[in-house]
Amino acid sequence: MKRYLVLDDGFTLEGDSIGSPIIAAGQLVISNNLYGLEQTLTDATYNGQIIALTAPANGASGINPNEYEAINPTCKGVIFNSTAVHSKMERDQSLDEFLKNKDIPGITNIDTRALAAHVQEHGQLKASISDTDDEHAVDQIKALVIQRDLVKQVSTRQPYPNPNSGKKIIVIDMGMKYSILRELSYRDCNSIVVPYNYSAAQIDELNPDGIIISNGPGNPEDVTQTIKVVEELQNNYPLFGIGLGHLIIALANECHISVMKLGHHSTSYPVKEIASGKIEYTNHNHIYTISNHGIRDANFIVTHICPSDGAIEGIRHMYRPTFSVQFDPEAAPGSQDMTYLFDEFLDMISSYERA
Amino acid sequence: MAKEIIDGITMQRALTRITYEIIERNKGIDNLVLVGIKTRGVYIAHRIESRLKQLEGITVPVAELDITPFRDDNNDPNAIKNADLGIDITDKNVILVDDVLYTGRTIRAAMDAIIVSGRPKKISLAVLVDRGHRELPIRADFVGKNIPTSRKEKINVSMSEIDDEDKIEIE
Amino acid sequence: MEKDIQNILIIGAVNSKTNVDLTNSIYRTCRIINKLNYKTILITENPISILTDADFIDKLIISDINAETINNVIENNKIDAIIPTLGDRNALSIIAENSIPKDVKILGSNNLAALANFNRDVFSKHLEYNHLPVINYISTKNENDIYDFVRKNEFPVILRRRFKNRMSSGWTNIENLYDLNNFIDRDPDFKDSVEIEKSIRGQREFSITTLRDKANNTNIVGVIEDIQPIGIHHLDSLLLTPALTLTNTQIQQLRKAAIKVAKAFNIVGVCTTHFALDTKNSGDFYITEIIPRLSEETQYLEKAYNYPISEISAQLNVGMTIDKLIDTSGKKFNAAYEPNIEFLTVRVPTWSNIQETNMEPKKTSNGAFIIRGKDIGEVFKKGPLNAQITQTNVLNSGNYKLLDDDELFEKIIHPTNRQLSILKIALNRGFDIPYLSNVTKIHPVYLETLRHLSKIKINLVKNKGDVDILRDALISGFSINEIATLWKISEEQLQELIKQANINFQLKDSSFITNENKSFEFNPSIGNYNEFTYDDKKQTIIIKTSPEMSFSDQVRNNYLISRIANANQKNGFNTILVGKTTREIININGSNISQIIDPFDEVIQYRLLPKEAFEHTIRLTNDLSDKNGLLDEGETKIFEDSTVKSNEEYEFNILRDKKDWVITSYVKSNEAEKSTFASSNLNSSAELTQIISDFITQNLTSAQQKYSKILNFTICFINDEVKIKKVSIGFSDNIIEHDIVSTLDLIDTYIKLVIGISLDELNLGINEFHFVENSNGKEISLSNDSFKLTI
Repeated sequence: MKRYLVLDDGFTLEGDSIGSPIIAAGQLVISNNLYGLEQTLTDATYNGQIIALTAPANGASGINPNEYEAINPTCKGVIFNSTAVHSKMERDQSLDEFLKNKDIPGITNIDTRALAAHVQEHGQLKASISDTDDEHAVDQIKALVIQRDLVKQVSTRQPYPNPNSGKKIIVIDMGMKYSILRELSYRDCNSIVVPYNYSAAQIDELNPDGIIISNGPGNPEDVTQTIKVVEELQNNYPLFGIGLGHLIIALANECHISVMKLGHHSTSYPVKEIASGKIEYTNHNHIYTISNHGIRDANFIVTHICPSDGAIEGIRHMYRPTFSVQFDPEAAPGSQDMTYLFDEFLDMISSYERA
Repeated sequence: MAKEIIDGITMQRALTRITYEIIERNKGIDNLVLVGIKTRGVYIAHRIESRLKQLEGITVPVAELDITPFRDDNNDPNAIKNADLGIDITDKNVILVDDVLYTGRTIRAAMDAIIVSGRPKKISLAVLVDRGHRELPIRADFVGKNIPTSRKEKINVSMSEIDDEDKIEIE
Repeated sequence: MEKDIQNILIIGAVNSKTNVDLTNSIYRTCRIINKLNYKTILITENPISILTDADFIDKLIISDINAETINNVIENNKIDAIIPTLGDRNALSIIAENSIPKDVKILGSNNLAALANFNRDVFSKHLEYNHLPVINYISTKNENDIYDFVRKNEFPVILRRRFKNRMSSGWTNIENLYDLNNFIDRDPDFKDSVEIEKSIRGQREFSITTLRDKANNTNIVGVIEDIQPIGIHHLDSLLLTPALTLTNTQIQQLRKAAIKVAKAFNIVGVCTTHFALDTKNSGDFYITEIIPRLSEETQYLEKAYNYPISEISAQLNVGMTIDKLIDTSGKKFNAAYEPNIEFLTVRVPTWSNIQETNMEPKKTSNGAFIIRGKDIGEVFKKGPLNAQITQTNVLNSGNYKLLDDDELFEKIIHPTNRQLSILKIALNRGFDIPYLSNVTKIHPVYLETLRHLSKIKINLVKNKGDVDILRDALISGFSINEIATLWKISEEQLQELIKQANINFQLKDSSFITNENKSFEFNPSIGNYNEFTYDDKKQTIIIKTSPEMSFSDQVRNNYLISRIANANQKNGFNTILVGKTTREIININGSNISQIIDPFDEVIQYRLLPKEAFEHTIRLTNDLSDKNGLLDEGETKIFEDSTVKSNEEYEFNILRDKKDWVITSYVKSNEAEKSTFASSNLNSSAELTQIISDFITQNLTSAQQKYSKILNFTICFINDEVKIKKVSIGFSDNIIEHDIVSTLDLIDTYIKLVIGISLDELNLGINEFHFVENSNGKEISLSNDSFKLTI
């Protein structure tokens, strides 16, 4: 069945339908993730977005429920370069079934190269997957307003524990990927996941050893509550920020953030650690970055940059036990070179306790 | 039989972490001087210095210290004790750097050498490995790894500058 | 960068038809090392395939390659370092023997890695020491060890006997105790030692290529999936990248292991690691082989990901860090990324022998080509199921359709190189996918794709003119030719329908869309964005090629393409290469030749290039069809008189235009002595020269209606009489020798004739015998594999 991809500047492409037949619209993001389709689709950072996947023959290995990063995906729609036929042998669902079950519309056989070339020229765009490509459809997508409460939609409503016997870690859920909890479990951390709007006093009461501010969707300037909470907590607790959390820490210290032209969306993107010069690879999914301007005045050292474009990828406070990274060290999907940062966080907690 | 307990990559990360902690505690790196003790402490000091240079863009002076004349088993009272650091350490934050901290006697000798050479503002200690069993009241401010050992065991630190590769072995 | 190295020796190819042809990689390595101001000394056994006028090779040594000759070269040329990673297994074996003097640095590999490539024990022990999983294996003369091993490792296992002369029997697959007892009972006293190994037959095969620099920064280029399982040599099976059927967790496991392997063997440069993945006990995998050099896999990945492994590996070898490299033009190049890919890229093996061959652990294929597509069905149809390329039209799938189910099943459990076609037929007959997957160990998604292709065909026949089905078929790689035949309409009518249905074909660059380094390799694909800009300011010469059936044809065509492109550039023309498969283009002057990979001739059908581009087309193919006696320029056709027999023959190469002709050179070959002699001028009596010249003049007129500007007369003398043995239109098999010795720049003159300049205008100094005056005196003599070039 034919469907259309309509962008808000009038650019349209024709494709075939897959998944749910509903019409959907959201901000367009082009992801170069090569592996781990189910992890990409269930990443809450994509809440409200339409993901375009440039990898070929998606869905060849079916959808494996062991690899979900959230139980329910919240992306608005998916655009595929191409999809593979599914073989009914495995117990896993086919891609089509999965998308239908989760009410996600998809469109396949799209020339994603044409799409990428267009976006390179025209910048951030909104997209819709619809049944027509006429003026009406373009007007509709033009009128779409990007929501500002994306984090609220995906953050947990109630705090819940992930009990174990080691260090007590609070994770502020901004749209957290399950793999963050997996990494904490491997290290025997006694974790509690709290909603994005939990107050500083409530977190204090739980007496954490360290606090992680997780990844999540949307513009960090929209989550003013969390920024305030971080301002209050950062003098008393070791903090580790990931993705959106990294940007929140920057904003809580009067740094500036900016939007990148294309963003980094890949399963295996390089990161260079400045101190040692080592280059490693990990999963990136971000369109925002911290500006170089003002970073020093806020007493942060830049610990990691991206060797391809020089963007700041990691910062550490000079005298407070705070560090954060723009990328996803828990890497689901993607290269796991940087998962040791969780060990570093725990080491930092130990030395903070000793001091 | 030597057994590797810390590999090269973990060793490098420990050095990077020490570097961040040094910046943290000193609230910046003004007035900092690194003094590396005898052989491997010097290489460690240089590695910390290169990381500081990458992060802060400033070159921190590194001095090399041979503590042999200051050892407490050196029985010649007339030996001229000259540390020959080559750097002025008066009013500076001196960080002594060594590979393994054990009884503490080496550090005491090092402090003697420092005091003879000038009047630093502060002396701190950074070590790659702390293996316990102190015989003097000395503690490290920055520790790479704490490795509990028995007195019979021996810790060997290999550094790629003079050994084949980076690693820490226990024997 | 290594400061104390000046002279680098690169060990090149041995004379072998089975080793991978790394000539292009060797050129690129020499070029980039030369740019870094090192002196490049190249040693090779193969004289002809190296163009001797490359200025980035400081010294070319043609000699046998073994430890002795290498050591001589080292001494005579003050060599500081060796790069042994471009000489296939041969170069590595010299390193493994440890016969290089200690003060000569070995770059890109080392004694341990090279030894691990050959010696199983060294390989296994070092991997175990580094906690990497390797297949359990012992060799013993003690019966207890065998049963102990089986208790620990369970069936299935494989066993073989190693005889006293160090030869061994083949591996026997043992599935149960009964078979094991039988095997042992054949030699119960253990006169010969027995090797036993855990069987990984039927496990899935993957490989990963890594690049590591001296600061231990390691990245992978890509993961290759092997469609056929262990038990069929990986270069005989269909290779696919990216690995479609692995989950993220499995990929990361293999990736981490590959990175660890590069560190464990301390390889600074490129390394490929092969894995076996046990899908029954998920999570278990084994490392089966490491290849610490450039190989077929790296060639394939270079094309698939457009990531210049040859240049990167060479620079890492001399100590540069991965983010601070240079590219071929000298600009800064940051290679610190793991390349992305948007097209499925497959490597399809080919057999020059048209007989059906059994596939087994030993390699039987002798060539390969690469196909890209967005869809699995598309790459299957353009690749292994493409009769034109794999010459499977010889088998006539009709023959297999006549077999009954049991006979077909026999062919499936003993797989041959027609496996995918046979499976397609089996699926048509209703064989069950899970069952077939279990038997062949091919992942069900590929079988489902084969079945899907058959379904589309049926739908096409049932629903003539249906636009949705047409779209499905085109996406799955059906060609216009095939659909038009099924719908019994003309290709033009079909094209109208395609246009009306708003389905567009475009030329797509094979590099990743955001990659700055374009690949200049294009393929037609359904899409909305044309990526090939036709330069209409300059004229174009198109070179059309077909896949070669033999290794020597391949060498010849590679040479010709490079020389023709060079000549085109000199004469102010662009070159576009259009072929059914990818080629390694050997580029001496570093200019960019655009290549279009067009397995179904879609460039012409969809008018992806303007008509004027085809005005001058040179076809490097063997004339396969009868076109009423008309040949395209460059196309080869041979007229042979088999009654004429002699040991010694002279092949004269002739260039001509409508009016005149010139003999550029000749090659004299003597079959009995196995010797060849080539020269540009017959140093013989004027009488003999006159005889030959007259003879050719007479016979040339009869060949006049064949329009090719280049042709060859092979004559011999029988009882002092001149007889024609053969007339071949187009480029002969000896064109390389002709080109080297010819006084004229043979290829350049040829191109000038092609674009319409006449021999008269060229003023070549042709004498009355149609030879060129004032020969340059170059001669080649080849006998018993020794080669001499005199100038």
